[in-house]
Amino acid sequence: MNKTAFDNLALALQIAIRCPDQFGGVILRARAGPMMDRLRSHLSQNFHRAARVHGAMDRTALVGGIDPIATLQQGVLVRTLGILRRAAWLNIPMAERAPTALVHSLTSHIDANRCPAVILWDEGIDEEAVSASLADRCAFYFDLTDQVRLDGELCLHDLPNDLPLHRVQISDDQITALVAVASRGGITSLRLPQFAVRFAKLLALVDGRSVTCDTDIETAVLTILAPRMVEIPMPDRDAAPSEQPQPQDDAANDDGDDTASDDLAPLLDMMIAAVQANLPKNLLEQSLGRTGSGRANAGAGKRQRSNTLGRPKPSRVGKPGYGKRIDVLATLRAAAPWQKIRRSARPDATAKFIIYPSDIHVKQYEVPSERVVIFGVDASGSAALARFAEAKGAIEIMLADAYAKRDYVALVGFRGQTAEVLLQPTRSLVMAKKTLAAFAGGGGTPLAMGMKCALDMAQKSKRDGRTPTLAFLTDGKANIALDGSANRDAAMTDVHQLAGMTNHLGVQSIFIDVGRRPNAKLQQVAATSGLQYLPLPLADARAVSNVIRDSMVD
Amino acid sequence: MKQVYPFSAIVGQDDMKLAMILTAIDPKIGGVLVFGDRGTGKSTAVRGLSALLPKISVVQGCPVNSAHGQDVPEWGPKLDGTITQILTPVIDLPLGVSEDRVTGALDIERALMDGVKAFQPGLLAAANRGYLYIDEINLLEDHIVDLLLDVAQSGENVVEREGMSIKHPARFVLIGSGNPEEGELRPQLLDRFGLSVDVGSPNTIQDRVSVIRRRDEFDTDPDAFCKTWRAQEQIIQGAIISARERIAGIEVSDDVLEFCAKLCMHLGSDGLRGELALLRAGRASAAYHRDNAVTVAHIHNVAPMALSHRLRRDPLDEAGSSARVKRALDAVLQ
Repeated sequence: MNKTAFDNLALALQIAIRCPDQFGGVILRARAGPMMDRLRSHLSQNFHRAARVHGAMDRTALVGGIDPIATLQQGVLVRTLGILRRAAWLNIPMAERAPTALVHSLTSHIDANRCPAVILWDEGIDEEAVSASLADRCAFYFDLTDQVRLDGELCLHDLPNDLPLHRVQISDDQITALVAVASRGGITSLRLPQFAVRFAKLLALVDGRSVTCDTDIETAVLTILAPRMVEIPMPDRDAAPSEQPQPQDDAANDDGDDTASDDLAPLLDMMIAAVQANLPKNLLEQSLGRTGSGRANAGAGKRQRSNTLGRPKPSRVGKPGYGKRIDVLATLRAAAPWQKIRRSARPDATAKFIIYPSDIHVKQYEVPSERVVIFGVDASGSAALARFAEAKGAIEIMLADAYAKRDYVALVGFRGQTAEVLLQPTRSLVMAKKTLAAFAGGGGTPLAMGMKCALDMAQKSKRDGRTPTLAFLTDGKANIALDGSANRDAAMTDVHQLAGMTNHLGVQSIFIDVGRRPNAKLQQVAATSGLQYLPLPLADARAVSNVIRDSMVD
Repeated sequence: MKQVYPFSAIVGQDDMKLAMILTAIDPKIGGVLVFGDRGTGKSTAVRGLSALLPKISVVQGCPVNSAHGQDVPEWGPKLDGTITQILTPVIDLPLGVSEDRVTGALDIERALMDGVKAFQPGLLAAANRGYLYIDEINLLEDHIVDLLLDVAQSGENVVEREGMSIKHPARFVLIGSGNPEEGELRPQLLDRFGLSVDVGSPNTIQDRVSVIRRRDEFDTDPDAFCKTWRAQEQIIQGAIISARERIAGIEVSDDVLEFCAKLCMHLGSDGLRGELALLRAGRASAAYHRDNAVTVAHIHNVAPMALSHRLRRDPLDEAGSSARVKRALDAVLQ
């Protein structure tokens, strides 16, 4: 990370905390390491009144409410202020795992300008990322995963006491350039260009000017827009014919606009050149995961497998213990109407509030067992296309009634020398259709690779609290081994081993043999490793989805 | 008072704006479902709408925004019956909300202090005669959704808990927004919404620039910005008020009814909700456009938003549901 970028990081943190209503917050994608430690200590030394927010935090802690313990002790109603009201900024570690309820509390408070700055630590691997709706409301995103150490000091900028952003003038051409470069970079949300406008104005203020200059715009583009781009912006004008109307058509009715776009060209080209020169490494790879499937993965499915977490249900009368926790508020509610009568029955009682065992309510949680069906589809050889179409059909049928059944569906395809995840676990038909639209077939059969890839995903799903089921649609004629060599025997041995491992890990699996004749070897593998095997030579989408549904654990 | 971004200053999104205006004219149409990308002005529109609508008169301090003194529920505070004018309430329903916060529950403060069993009204009471807005409705817990639908349907909230038995009116227009890529809604739930619209980011640079520029002007000087748009706001407000007066007198011919029925049959939408929503939306649209009778053109105009969410999903049909409604319209018209 060069010095300017670093300077911008420090400035971003400082102004986000200073004006959360203008910039929302900062996302720092970093893994535990010296970089993170330094940033943390920088933050804790220089910015006070921080509050740490964790996923299990309940609503009362966040937005405030009745404090039952203090209320009981003092005999008067004591309310607590939630940390959203108390803190100057929120420190949110492991933000990629933040539960939906927390994300939504934060986004709704940010929308209402009642949220302190959020500093989100995104420690996600691969496609794990901060929820897109929250990310969209944070102006700054810094990817520090490749930064081993910091060259330079994190220093505080000397900002004026008053930051009258609204007094800074920004020209129409500059706004147009920001919007155009964002849209060339594939940024669909309009919040980010908005943040870029504000940041450019802020840079002008810091510099003591009241008009933004092109350098401010460039820095805003590089700091705010570039990290979120999902496409490499190109100066190609033909790509967007709507922006370049024919002068003779347009000159008559829209004079002003036409001249604006003439002046704009050099500025826009300059911005695009700047972005290209400063492209973050593997731009597409990181960003696609973030915008495409980010939310779908980090969504409602991340339930913890604990007795004390999950969707809260109404509290019940019961005894605490065995991991059950008392619901103080419900207990008080149950006891409150009886206080007068109880007091008259026991005038000598010293307690301010008389609670009988029958009042005690315990919290109840329901952890929905969400299932995920991972399809491993053999896309090799001649039968590939038909098979693949059936798998696609089955996925769409399963998703069409997925809501009621609470199933997620994922797809791993394997052919030639590789296996790849085509569809991350999702419940969205829209998403699935988008992703499945194009995938070609042909080549060898790396069955073992496909199994490994699917198994990896299954284990990840298990960590997320879902129950995976694997379904392999293949003819079982494996000819590529795990190491990539074209060796039939080694390939089959690998398949055998992986099948055993699948069984050992307790992942429900089913081989659907879609070859024209049942494959005895595959049947044998399945039998010896305790997996299900089903020959289905005329597999059609409906039959496949029925078979899988029947074999799934409830 | 803090200025709200004016409804009429929202760039594009005509379907969404029209759907909201129609429900403002006739709340019986039911709720509006807005599905689309992030940052497309969904919540801005809802908040802007509240500021745009004519103020309603309520008994001051009434927990359910009653219009007349005799409607104030007996469990509420003792009021002197002063009538005041307030903005149409728009209540946000947060995702992680608990059931007792929605329906109302025993007032713990009074129970602890005075030992009395009093009712503390919830969000449903506050939303009476106004709007209930749920962002990311597709992520809302099922039990809350069921409860909301039940209340929205019956217009009444019944609380039976902690030894209390309380009923209060809860007539509101439900506005739900969400992103279909994050999960889908159950068909039963979809069907309860009167209208549904898809919104997308504006796709021309000019539109996108005007969004940013207007927002920037608004941030720079909210008062001046609202002043510029006041005339526009008043035009829409006037149209809504006059449409409300006219709507009862709008005629619906048998031909139009038959057209609605044919269209719904052609599309195979379940039940009669589709026809009803279509007709009500058509009538509100006629009133809004100052026509005296509903014509096929009005129905044509509102059919996609009234029907697109009621179709049986066919996983093998690639076309979007709005396109299917348009196809059906063409087929029935021939």
